[in-house]
Amino acid sequence: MCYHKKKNGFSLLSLIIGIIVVFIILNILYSIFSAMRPIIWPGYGYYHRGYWGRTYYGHRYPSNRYPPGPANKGSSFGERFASKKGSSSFASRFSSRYGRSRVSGFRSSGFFGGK
Amino acid sequence: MGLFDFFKKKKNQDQVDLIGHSLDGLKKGGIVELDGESWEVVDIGYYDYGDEKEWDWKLVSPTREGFLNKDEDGIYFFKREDLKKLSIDPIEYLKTHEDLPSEIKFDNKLYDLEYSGAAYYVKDGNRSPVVIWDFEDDNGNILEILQWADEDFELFLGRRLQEWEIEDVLS
Repeated sequence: MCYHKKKNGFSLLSLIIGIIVVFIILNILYSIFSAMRPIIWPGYGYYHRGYWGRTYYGHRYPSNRYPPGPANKGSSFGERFASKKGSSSFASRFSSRYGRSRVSGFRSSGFFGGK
Repeated sequence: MGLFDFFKKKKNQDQVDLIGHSLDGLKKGGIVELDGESWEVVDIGYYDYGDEKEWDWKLVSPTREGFLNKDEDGIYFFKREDLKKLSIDPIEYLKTHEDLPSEIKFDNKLYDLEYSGAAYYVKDGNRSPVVIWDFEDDNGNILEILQWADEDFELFLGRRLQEWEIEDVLS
Protein backbone atom coordinates (compact mmCIF):
# COMPACT_ATOMS: atom_id res chain seq x y z
CA MET A 1 0.00 0.00 0.00
CA CYS A 2 2.72 2.31 1.00
CA TYR A 3 4.67 1.41 -2.15
CA HIS A 4 1.73 2.24 -4.41
CA LYS A 5 1.25 5.62 -2.79
CA LYS A 6 4.87 6.47 -3.38
CA LYS A 7 4.66 5.34 -7.00
CA ASN A 8 1.52 7.39 -7.67
CA GLY A 9 3.09 10.46 -6.06
CA PHE A 10 6.15 10.16 -8.24
CA SER A 11 4.01 9.92 -11.38
CA LEU A 12 2.05 13.04 -10.45
CA LEU A 13 5.26 14.95 -9.82
CA SER A 14 6.60 13.84 -13.20
CA LEU A 15 3.39 14.98 -14.87
CA ILE A 16 3.58 18.41 -13.24
CA ILE A 17 7.25 18.83 -14.15
CA GLY A 18 6.46 17.68 -17.68
CA ILE A 19 3.69 20.25 -18.05
CA ILE A 20 5.96 23.00 -16.74
CA VAL A 21 8.75 22.01 -19.14
CA VAL A 22 6.36 21.94 -22.10
CA PHE A 23 4.96 25.31 -21.04
CA ILE A 24 8.45 26.81 -20.86
CA ILE A 25 9.39 25.39 -24.27
CA LEU A 26 6.18 26.76 -25.83
CA ASN A 27 6.85 30.11 -24.20
CA ILE A 28 10.36 30.24 -25.64
CA LEU A 29 9.09 29.29 -29.09
CA TYR A 30 6.43 31.99 -28.85
CA SER A 31 9.07 34.56 -27.85
CA ILE A 32 11.25 33.58 -30.79
CA PHE A 33 8.33 33.77 -33.17
CA SER A 34 7.22 37.13 -31.76
CA ALA A 35 10.71 38.56 -32.16
CA MET A 36 10.90 37.34 -35.76
CA ARG A 37 7.42 38.40 -36.77
CA PRO A 38 8.43 41.73 -38.32
CA ILE A 39 11.03 39.82 -40.36
CA ILE A 40 9.00 36.87 -41.55
CA TRP A 41 5.78 38.84 -41.85
CA PRO A 42 6.39 42.07 -43.78
CA GLY A 43 4.00 44.76 -42.74
CA TYR A 44 3.30 43.22 -39.37
CA GLY A 45 4.40 46.31 -37.49
CA TYR A 46 2.33 48.60 -39.64
CA TYR A 47 -0.93 47.19 -38.44
CA HIS A 48 -0.25 45.79 -35.04
CA ARG A 49 1.89 48.51 -33.53
CA GLY A 50 -0.19 51.36 -34.81
CA TYR A 51 2.48 52.21 -37.33
CA TRP A 52 0.09 54.10 -39.51
CA GLY A 53 -2.08 55.46 -36.77
CA ARG A 54 -1.96 58.75 -35.00
CA THR A 55 -1.91 57.27 -31.55
CA TYR A 56 1.64 56.02 -31.63
CA TYR A 57 3.32 56.87 -34.88
CA GLY A 58 1.01 59.69 -35.74
CA HIS A 59 3.39 62.52 -36.39
CA ARG A 60 4.47 61.72 -39.91
CA TYR A 61 1.93 59.13 -40.82
CA PRO A 62 -1.73 59.77 -40.28
CA SER A 63 -3.68 56.62 -40.89
CA ASN A 64 -4.79 57.69 -44.34
CA ARG A 65 -1.47 58.91 -45.64
CA TYR A 66 0.16 55.80 -47.00
CA PRO A 67 -2.51 53.17 -46.95
CA PRO A 68 -0.68 49.87 -47.21
CA GLY A 69 -1.72 47.54 -49.94
CA PRO A 70 -2.30 47.56 -53.66
CA ALA A 71 -4.15 50.87 -53.64
CA ASN A 72 -0.90 52.72 -53.33
CA LYS A 73 1.10 50.49 -55.62
CA GLY A 74 1.38 51.22 -59.27
CA SER A 75 0.49 54.87 -58.92
CA SER A 76 3.42 57.09 -58.28
CA PHE A 77 3.26 59.99 -55.93
CA GLY A 78 3.39 62.33 -58.91
CA GLU A 79 0.31 60.76 -60.44
CA ARG A 80 -1.64 60.84 -57.24
CA PHE A 81 -0.58 64.37 -56.46
CA ALA A 82 -1.20 65.66 -59.97
CA SER A 83 -4.72 64.31 -59.88
CA LYS A 84 -5.43 66.53 -56.91
CA LYS A 85 -3.70 69.59 -58.25
CA GLY A 86 -5.98 72.39 -59.22
CA SER A 87 -8.78 71.30 -56.99
CA SER A 88 -6.60 71.36 -53.91
CA SER A 89 -5.24 74.52 -52.39
CA PHE A 90 -2.72 72.40 -50.56
CA ALA A 91 -1.31 71.08 -53.83
CA SER A 92 -0.98 74.53 -55.35
CA ARG A 93 0.51 75.86 -52.11
CA PHE A 94 3.03 73.08 -52.12
CA SER A 95 3.96 73.58 -55.76
CA SER A 96 4.51 77.29 -55.36
CA ARG A 97 6.80 76.82 -52.36
CA TYR A 98 8.80 73.74 -53.12
CA GLY A 99 12.44 74.62 -53.59
CA ARG A 100 12.57 77.51 -51.16
CA SER A 101 15.79 77.29 -49.26
CA ARG A 102 15.57 76.61 -45.59
CA VAL A 103 19.17 76.25 -44.50
CA SER A 104 19.90 79.74 -45.72
CA GLY A 105 16.96 80.99 -43.70
CA PHE A 106 16.70 82.04 -40.12
CA ARG A 107 18.11 78.84 -38.74
CA SER A 108 21.63 79.61 -39.82
CA SER A 109 21.73 83.29 -40.54
CA GLY A 110 19.19 84.63 -38.12
CA PHE A 111 17.20 86.46 -40.73
CA PHE A 112 14.28 85.56 -42.83
CA GLY A 113 15.87 84.08 -45.88
CA GLY A 114 13.42 81.44 -46.87
CA LYS A 115 10.51 83.44 -48.00
CA MET B 1 17.26 37.43 -18.00
CA GLY B 2 15.41 36.66 -21.19
CA LEU B 3 16.58 34.63 -24.10
CA PHE B 4 17.58 37.70 -26.10
CA ASP B 5 18.92 39.80 -23.24
CA PHE B 6 22.38 38.45 -23.86
CA PHE B 7 22.42 39.98 -27.32
CA LYS B 8 20.83 43.22 -26.12
CA LYS B 9 23.47 43.63 -23.45
CA LYS B 10 26.24 43.20 -25.96
CA LYS B 11 24.65 45.75 -28.26
CA ASN B 12 24.42 48.35 -25.49
CA GLN B 13 28.08 47.88 -24.69
CA ASP B 14 28.85 48.97 -28.24
CA GLN B 15 26.71 52.09 -27.96
CA VAL B 16 28.11 55.22 -29.48
CA ASP B 17 28.34 58.50 -27.66
CA LEU B 18 26.64 60.83 -30.09
CA ILE B 19 26.86 64.03 -28.10
CA GLY B 20 29.04 65.74 -30.67
CA HIS B 21 26.52 67.16 -33.05
CA SER B 22 26.15 63.87 -34.86
CA LEU B 23 22.98 61.85 -34.65
CA ASP B 24 23.87 59.74 -37.64
CA GLY B 25 24.23 56.62 -35.54
CA LEU B 26 20.85 57.05 -33.88
CA LYS B 27 18.73 54.16 -35.07
CA LYS B 28 15.12 53.17 -34.65
CA GLY B 29 14.68 51.91 -31.10
CA GLY B 30 17.42 54.20 -29.80
CA ILE B 31 16.83 56.20 -26.64
CA VAL B 32 17.52 59.90 -26.15
CA GLU B 33 17.31 61.74 -22.86
CA LEU B 34 15.88 65.20 -23.40
CA ASP B 35 14.13 67.63 -21.06
CA GLY B 36 14.25 65.08 -18.28
CA GLU B 37 12.39 62.48 -20.31
CA SER B 38 13.41 59.36 -22.17
CA TRP B 39 12.46 59.45 -25.83
CA GLU B 40 12.48 56.43 -28.07
CA VAL B 41 13.24 56.76 -31.76
CA VAL B 42 10.31 55.21 -33.58
CA ASP B 43 10.90 56.43 -37.10
CA ILE B 44 13.60 57.97 -39.23
CA GLY B 45 13.14 59.89 -42.42
CA TYR B 46 14.23 63.07 -44.09
CA TYR B 47 12.82 66.22 -45.63
CA ASP B 48 13.78 66.84 -49.19
CA TYR B 49 13.69 70.55 -49.93
CA GLY B 50 15.05 70.13 -53.42
CA ASP B 51 18.72 70.84 -53.01
CA GLU B 52 18.71 70.49 -49.23
CA LYS B 53 17.91 67.66 -46.90
CA GLU B 54 17.08 67.55 -43.24
CA TRP B 55 17.13 64.35 -41.27
CA ASP B 56 14.30 63.70 -38.92
CA TRP B 57 14.04 61.29 -36.00
CA LYS B 58 10.52 60.78 -34.75
CA LEU B 59 10.40 60.32 -30.98
CA VAL B 60 7.89 59.19 -28.43
CA SER B 61 8.08 59.54 -24.68
CA PRO B 62 5.65 57.96 -22.25
CA THR B 63 3.52 61.09 -22.43
CA ARG B 64 3.97 62.75 -25.81
CA GLU B 65 5.46 62.84 -29.27
CA GLY B 66 8.26 64.86 -30.73
CA PHE B 67 11.11 64.77 -33.15
CA LEU B 68 14.74 65.64 -33.58
CA ASN B 69 15.66 67.49 -36.72
CA LYS B 70 19.14 68.01 -38.02
CA ASP B 71 20.27 70.40 -40.72
CA GLU B 72 23.66 71.77 -41.63
CA ASP B 73 23.46 74.28 -38.85
CA GLY B 74 22.40 72.29 -35.84
CA ILE B 75 20.01 69.98 -34.12
CA TYR B 76 16.48 70.95 -33.21
CA PHE B 77 14.05 69.34 -30.82
CA PHE B 78 10.29 69.67 -31.20
CA LYS B 79 7.33 68.47 -29.17
CA ARG B 80 3.83 68.04 -30.49
CA GLU B 81 1.35 70.65 -29.36
CA ASP B 82 -2.40 71.01 -29.58
CA LEU B 83 -3.53 73.04 -32.58
CA LYS B 84 -6.31 74.48 -30.46
CA LYS B 85 -3.73 76.50 -28.56
CA LEU B 86 -3.10 78.58 -31.67
CA SER B 87 -4.78 81.93 -31.96
CA ILE B 88 -6.20 80.86 -35.33
CA ASP B 89 -7.57 77.68 -36.78
CA PRO B 90 -5.26 77.08 -39.76
CA ILE B 91 -7.83 74.96 -41.56
CA GLU B 92 -10.48 77.66 -41.42
CA TYR B 93 -7.99 80.46 -41.97
CA LEU B 94 -6.63 78.98 -45.19
CA LYS B 95 -10.10 78.59 -46.59
CA THR B 96 -10.27 82.34 -46.93
CA HIS B 97 -6.56 83.26 -47.14
CA GLU B 98 -3.78 82.11 -49.40
CA ASP B 99 -1.24 82.00 -46.60
CA LEU B 100 -1.01 81.99 -42.83
CA PRO B 101 -0.53 85.37 -41.12
CA SER B 102 2.95 86.73 -40.50
CA GLU B 103 2.28 86.77 -36.76
CA ILE B 104 0.57 84.13 -34.75
CA LYS B 105 -0.13 83.61 -31.07
CA PHE B 106 0.42 80.39 -29.22
CA ASP B 107 -0.34 80.17 -25.53
CA ASN B 108 -0.71 83.95 -25.60
CA LYS B 109 2.87 84.41 -26.83
CA LEU B 110 3.56 86.11 -30.12
CA TYR B 111 5.53 84.31 -32.82
CA ASP B 112 6.77 85.88 -36.06
CA LEU B 113 6.85 84.04 -39.34
CA GLU B 114 10.45 83.21 -40.25
CA TYR B 115 10.10 80.64 -42.99
CA SER B 116 7.46 79.14 -45.16
CA GLY B 117 8.22 76.53 -47.73
CA ALA B 118 7.56 73.01 -48.81
CA ALA B 119 9.34 69.71 -48.87
CA TYR B 120 8.83 66.06 -49.46
CA TYR B 121 9.00 63.90 -46.38
CA VAL B 122 10.78 60.75 -47.51
CA LYS B 123 10.65 57.44 -45.73
CA ASP B 124 10.89 53.90 -47.02
CA GLY B 125 10.72 55.16 -50.58
CA ASN B 126 7.49 57.07 -49.99
CA ARG B 127 7.51 60.79 -50.65
CA SER B 128 4.83 62.81 -48.97
CA PRO B 129 4.44 66.52 -49.74
CA VAL B 130 4.28 68.85 -46.80
CA VAL B 131 4.00 72.60 -46.47
CA ILE B 132 5.92 74.08 -43.57
CA TRP B 133 5.63 77.31 -41.63
CA ASP B 134 8.20 78.23 -39.00
CA PHE B 135 7.44 80.98 -36.52
CA GLU B 136 9.84 82.19 -33.86
CA ASP B 137 9.45 84.19 -30.68
CA ASP B 138 11.94 86.55 -29.06
CA ASN B 139 13.45 83.73 -27.01
CA GLY B 140 14.30 81.53 -29.96
CA ASN B 141 11.40 79.14 -29.51
CA ILE B 142 10.23 77.82 -32.84
CA LEU B 143 6.63 77.09 -33.63
CA GLU B 144 6.32 74.78 -36.60
CA ILE B 145 3.07 74.22 -38.45
CA LEU B 146 2.97 71.38 -40.94
CA GLN B 147 0.28 70.88 -43.52
CA TRP B 148 0.02 67.41 -45.03
CA ALA B 149 -3.29 67.82 -46.83
CA ASP B 150 -6.07 70.36 -47.11
CA GLU B 151 -7.34 69.65 -43.62
CA ASP B 152 -4.44 67.80 -42.08
CA PHE B 153 -2.26 70.00 -39.91
CA GLU B 154 0.22 69.38 -37.15
CA LEU B 155 1.76 71.76 -34.64
CA PHE B 156 5.11 71.44 -32.90
CA LEU B 157 6.98 73.67 -30.52
CA GLY B 158 10.73 73.40 -30.37
CA ARG B 159 14.10 74.99 -30.12
CA ARG B 160 17.67 74.57 -31.19
CA LEU B 161 19.51 72.19 -28.92
CA GLN B 162 22.78 72.91 -27.22
CA GLU B 163 25.25 70.05 -27.10
CA TRP B 164 24.91 69.60 -23.38
CA GLU B 165 21.15 69.26 -23.63
CA ILE B 166 21.40 65.85 -25.21
CA GLU B 167 22.17 64.07 -21.98
CA ASP B 168 22.49 60.59 -23.32
CA VAL B 169 21.97 58.67 -26.49
CA LEU B 170 21.68 54.92 -26.70
CA SER B 171 21.47 53.51 -30.15
